Amino acid sequence: MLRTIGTAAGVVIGGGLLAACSGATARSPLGANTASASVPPSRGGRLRAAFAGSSGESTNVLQATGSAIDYVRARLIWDTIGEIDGSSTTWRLAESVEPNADATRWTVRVRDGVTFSNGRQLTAQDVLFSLRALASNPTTQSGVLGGLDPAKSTVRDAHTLELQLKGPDGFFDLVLAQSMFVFPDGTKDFAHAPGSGPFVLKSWTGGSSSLLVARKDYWGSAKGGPYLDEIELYSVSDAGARLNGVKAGQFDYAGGLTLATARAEEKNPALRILTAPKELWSDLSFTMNLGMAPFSKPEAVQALRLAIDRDAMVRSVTLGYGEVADDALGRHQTWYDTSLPPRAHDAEQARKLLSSAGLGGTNFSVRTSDYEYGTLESATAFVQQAHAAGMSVAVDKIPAADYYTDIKTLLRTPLQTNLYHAQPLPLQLSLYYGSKASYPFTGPSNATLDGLLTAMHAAVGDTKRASAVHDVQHYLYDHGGDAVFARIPPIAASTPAVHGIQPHGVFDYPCLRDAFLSS
Amino acid sequence: MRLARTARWLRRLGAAAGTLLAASVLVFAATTLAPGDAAAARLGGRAGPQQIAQLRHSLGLDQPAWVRYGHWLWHALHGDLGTSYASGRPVSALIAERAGNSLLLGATAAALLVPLAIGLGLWAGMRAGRAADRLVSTATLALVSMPEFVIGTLLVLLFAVGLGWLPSVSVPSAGHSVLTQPQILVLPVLTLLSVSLAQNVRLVRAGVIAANASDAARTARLGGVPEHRVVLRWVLPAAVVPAVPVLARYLAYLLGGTLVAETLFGYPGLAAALVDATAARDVPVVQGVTLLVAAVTVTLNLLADLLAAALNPAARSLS
Repeated sequence: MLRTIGTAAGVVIGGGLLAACSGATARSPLGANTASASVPPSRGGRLRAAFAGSSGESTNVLQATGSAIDYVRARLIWDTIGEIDGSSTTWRLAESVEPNADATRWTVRVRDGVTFSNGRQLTAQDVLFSLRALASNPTTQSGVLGGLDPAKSTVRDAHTLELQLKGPDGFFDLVLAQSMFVFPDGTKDFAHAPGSGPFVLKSWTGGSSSLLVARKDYWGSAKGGPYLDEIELYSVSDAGARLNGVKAGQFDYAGGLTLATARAEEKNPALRILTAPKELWSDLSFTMNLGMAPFSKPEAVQALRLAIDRDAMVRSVTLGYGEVADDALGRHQTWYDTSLPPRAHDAEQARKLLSSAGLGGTNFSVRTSDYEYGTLESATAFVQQAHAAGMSVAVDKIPAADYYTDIKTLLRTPLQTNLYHAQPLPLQLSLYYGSKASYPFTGPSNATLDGLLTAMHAAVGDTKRASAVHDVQHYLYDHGGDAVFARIPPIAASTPAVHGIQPHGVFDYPCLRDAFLSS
Repeated sequence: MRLARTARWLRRLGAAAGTLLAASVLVFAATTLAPGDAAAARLGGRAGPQQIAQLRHSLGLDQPAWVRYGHWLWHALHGDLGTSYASGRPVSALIAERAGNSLLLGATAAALLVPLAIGLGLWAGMRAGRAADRLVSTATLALVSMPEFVIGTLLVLLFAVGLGWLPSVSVPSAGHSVLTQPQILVLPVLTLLSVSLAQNVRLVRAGVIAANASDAARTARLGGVPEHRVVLRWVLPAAVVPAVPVLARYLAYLLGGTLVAETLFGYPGLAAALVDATAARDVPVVQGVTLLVAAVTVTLNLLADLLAAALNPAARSLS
């Protein structure tokens, strides 16, 4: 959900829209000059990048997803088993990941010739130890590793790992590409675990800045980065201050900016406004709890969906930069069912549905907060739209810090806004829907939906997997409680000299491994 | 007489300690009553309910609130402020680092504030109604009516983004401290000074005008006392005494962490740590920071009263 720093990952088309991606040719939807032709990497230099952080930052690898800057730093210090690129997996420390016939057991081949920053060889034992640590400690990764049976998983030889699952999961390869950082077997001090990644941490002051130095012996340097000598990360909470830092020449890159920034700065030649490929855009939704009145009546759900003027939402809330969504998450991922029809805007039909269900004159309240751009704005915009459908909607605004932390209320609210960060659809669907969901915002599940989700996890092979995901999406399109109405692009900015920064699944906490500065 | 005075100051000290204890109870109650806790703040949204419960247990958040408070108080009285729920690092280390930064920023601003406020206030007050006074009065009125963040933003746009003379973000580079990069202090200090200086100049100026027209000053002048002695002996003390408590409050504000300046410039001070900790439901850090700020405020108020008593013989003998 929401700010999901976590292991989150979406998908990135090769090259992508990020200016910095080598070989990017696509035009940015922002109209900014983001697509330079492929720039050959140049070596050396120091990149200064600013991200949101806090005084609660940590170098602990088990807390790496705690803040944007912790995550960006961790991605440089520890390599992962694999990453998500363009809806599919790119293996890093794994060479291959294969399921058995019913996807209850997965075999991971671990890359040869990888060393930790302390010079030790990386083996399958280290990978198993890391997975066990991530699964058994309260990490964000543990949320997706629930299907792994750490005790029954074994090391077959120095470079082969057998992962036993508690039940079939044909999508466990996507799980293994969710920021599964690898550190040495036997690590006790997780705040100082030796790294497997392209950079080592030279100095760190929590909530201020850190300096990372490139490793000369990094296994991947034959095919890519590190090109830079050093990376300096600055922790700056305020998005406006991060942007000013780039404009004043203090930083080369700033992550986590606002859409308003894009509008204000898109013509600034000294600045490059960057956004993610569309699969990594966030989904905005009005989430209805089907277990609570009035949404226990299907007419109320349908009426609300029809009452939303999605084009107007894209114009006003996303400032014209976003796009319409049609009551399904994850458009542009290869898993997305493109046969889902557009949802009409029909205020009259909405009014009829409500009165036919005896709900004419019902007062609705939408719970929201300004924890991220787009949620409060959508709720406010909807008041007017709903009025046209005869619905009276009140906005219930909650302080940002209270909104996140109050999980009980989140799961017991009839109507609320949601900003779903991009994640691979099969994982996202399991996180939010069905009786095994960790965050069932739309209320209790039923046998049909659970059956479809079970079938989805049992599917093996790309064709079967895609069609099983489509089945779940169709069900949710017709009977689900999310009215997903718009997609909103995440924004970052850099100087024109910055290249090679890629999201590899997470745009807001990008991978700086292959970054370089053109002279 | 002396004994009575000692008893009075001892009572004040006791009251100060009581204030700190009450503050710690109130702050603990407020953070505990706020929705959610540190475990939900850290993992909410991704990890499942079991992992959140596991973290809650390992942080001891599943114990009753009074047990947690008692535990905290017992250790705090022994000088141990515990570890941060968010980072797992000792609270005292975070506070030492952040308080050092806040102190540096606040002390720099304060060191400029006091002489400038008194000097400008005296200068303008002695020239009441003349062009110099009108200039100072208009300028301070303009500054007083502008919120800090507006002034700070204008300063950034001018000196950092526009002219490129100064950094716009006041975060020390890796391996540096604020002391080795003093240029990052300039804009935050100017921002802090703008509002507090304007307020205090106006206060001192008003006091100077009143004292200047007082019978004492007039008599002294008629008696042939040189002007500079009149100012030093009669005008300045009479003008500064009423300003001391206000100045003390500003000093407490400057030293206790200055949220607007810290947010605007990303300066790693106490106030920013407090905001982060509140959002993260990081109770030990919230408790530690608020306790320190409360202690500084109480101490400065005590000192201000002592100073006022020392400067004003009337208050000393009457009370």
